[in-house]
Amino acid sequence: MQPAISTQPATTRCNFYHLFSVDKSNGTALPLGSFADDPNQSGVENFLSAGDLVFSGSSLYLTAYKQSDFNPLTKTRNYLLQLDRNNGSVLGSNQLLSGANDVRDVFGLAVVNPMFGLGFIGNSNDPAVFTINPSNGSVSNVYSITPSGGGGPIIVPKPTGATFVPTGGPQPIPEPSTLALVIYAAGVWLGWRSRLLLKA
Amino acid sequence: MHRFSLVLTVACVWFSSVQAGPLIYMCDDTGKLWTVDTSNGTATILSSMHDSSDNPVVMTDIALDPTTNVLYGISSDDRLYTIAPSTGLASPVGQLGFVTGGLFRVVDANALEFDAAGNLYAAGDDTMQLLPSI
Repeated sequence: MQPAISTQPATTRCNFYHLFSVDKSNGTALPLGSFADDPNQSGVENFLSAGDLVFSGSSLYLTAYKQSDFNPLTKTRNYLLQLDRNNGSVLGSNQLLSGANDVRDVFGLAVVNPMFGLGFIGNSNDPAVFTINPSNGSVSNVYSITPSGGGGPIIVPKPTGATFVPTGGPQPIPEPSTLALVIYAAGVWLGWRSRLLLKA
Repeated sequence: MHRFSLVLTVACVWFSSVQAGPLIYMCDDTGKLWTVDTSNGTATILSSMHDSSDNPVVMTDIALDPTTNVLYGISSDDRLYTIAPSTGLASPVGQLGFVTGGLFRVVDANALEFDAAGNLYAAGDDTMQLLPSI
């Protein structure tokens, strides 16, 4: 039986970052292991702040910060970690870089072949979508996220997550191209002219 | 001629539509659900996520179950939901966490993902709360 949830303040807090296996039928989340080591343990690199998880094939990736250089104000230097899906341990890490620029606040990852990320490049406060090479962390094909119909980049709100759209999922309604409109108008005009000529 | 131009128009519209790149879902910190065209960054609002009482629900991450095509989300108060993308209706599944020592430990997670077999994973950030259970 699921115990009731109290609204009382927390009685205990701890500072570990874990990978969980979640029962999608009820939300039960069992910790598989920590991907950040004991923050009090010296000489071990710790990773903080789970941005987003994504599977690429059987490999599991996570975006996070290094505790040793984490600045909560600037949130620079995001890393892409490869995790052991069985226990959350870090198998490898690469700093996410767009050229020489740090990539920060990557709270969205999705694999549609290739891997895509949502985040901020350098000092920009405009969210962007980009591709990620998981083997070295390099970021390319950067596009500012812009609402359809114009209006410029979205500064607020901020992306918090992402996932792939299934085959047959919602597709954007295509806007008729200028060429299509010109052809259509020309056809209507020619049709009207030919009718006039036939009547004459 | 009119019919010919109509066919050409449809062809052009179709051609422009197939030029779009892969789409991804994106949620934001105001509770909106978008699609983002990865080939140019164009974002289109699908819906505003809300519960059955029409209260807004802000998701910290979303994940699609590839075995069922059901979209899941975790909210800022650490609850797991299923989401209907077109309407934004978020249906609660349960509180994210587990029972230990007679207490319910809430998992404060902001990362969610399914593997190809439909197994769900989450990653938690800096706090996990122990709450008295009744």
